[in-house]
Amino acid sequence: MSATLETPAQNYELRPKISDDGETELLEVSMGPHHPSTHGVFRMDVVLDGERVVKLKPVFGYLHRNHEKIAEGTSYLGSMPYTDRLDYFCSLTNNWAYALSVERLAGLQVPERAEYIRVITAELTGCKTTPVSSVFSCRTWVRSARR
Amino acid sequence: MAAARADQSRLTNVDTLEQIKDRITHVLPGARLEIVANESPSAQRSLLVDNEHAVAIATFLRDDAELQLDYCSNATGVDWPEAVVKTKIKKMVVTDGVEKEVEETLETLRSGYLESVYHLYSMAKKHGPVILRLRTENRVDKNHLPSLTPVWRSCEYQEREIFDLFGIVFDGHPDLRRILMWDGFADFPMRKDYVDPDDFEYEPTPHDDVLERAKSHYPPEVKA
Repeated sequence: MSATLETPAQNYELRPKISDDGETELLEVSMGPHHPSTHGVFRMDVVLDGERVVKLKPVFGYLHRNHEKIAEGTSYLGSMPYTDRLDYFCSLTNNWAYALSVERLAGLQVPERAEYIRVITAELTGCKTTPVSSVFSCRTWVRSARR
Repeated sequence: MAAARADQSRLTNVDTLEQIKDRITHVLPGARLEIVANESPSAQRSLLVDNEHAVAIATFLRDDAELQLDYCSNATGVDWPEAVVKTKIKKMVVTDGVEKEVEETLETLRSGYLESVYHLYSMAKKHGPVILRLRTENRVDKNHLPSLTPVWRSCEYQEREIFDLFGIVFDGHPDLRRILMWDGFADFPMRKDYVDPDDFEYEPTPHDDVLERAKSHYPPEVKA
């Protein structure tokens, strides 16, 4: 490709090793992508002062499939299954969001029955997501309290 | 349902896009603004903003007491490659003494450019979206746009994604690096002229046309 891409100035530096008072040495840890909590999808570059996180930079792209690019080669209906894989915690709501945008683009009006079904499925998703996320955060809290 | 649709087409509680444009030109007299029409049924029009005043306009939209567009929900890129644009004009032609209206098609070559699009909402006032567009001069070397991350913090990762996938360089961005593709990657996958590498579809035991493509990537001794 003929486009030029200058490398812009980056502030992505995990510095300094020694904190301002000159006593504590900061520890750089690359957490993930194989850490169990990130299960292979992303990494966090963290700077630790003892157990305290001083700085954190998330690094994405380990599981990037570029859904937009895939959608260029499929029909509007064909990219529907991809939309619920964007976030498996609320997959049906993602389907809904995609369907809504396509309908607005094409000027379509769905029947009232479909609207009801959508609300029901979205509510069911919400019923599942709320306990999952609260259990997840409780577990994290209990673990940290034990320590 | 119909009432809900009508409500959606209304842009904000206070202003139409024309009124917003007038207010911006009132506050920032030098700003060049243009309303971009949308011919699809969604009819979501957008405001094309010039690059010099973009940050000032964005700050005005965020801080204005009536608009308070405090939330940038989405920032995305659009690639417009060089294309022949056909426009139809109606023309009066006199043939055999009779005046007739003839439709003519004009073909003009539009140079390519890249756009970044921002969807703005107001959390405080519960209205939106107001859609901003920024346009680069071309797709090759003048691919710089001002970053709106200093105005809306949520633009940071999304502008990084636009930079990564479309190759728009955002000036004033605090941390402009590739976000999804790896650092050594050279191309911009979301551009229209991007060509897939022919060995991306790796199979452990390639066959048929995948095997043919895979052979070109084998080391020489395997090929023979």
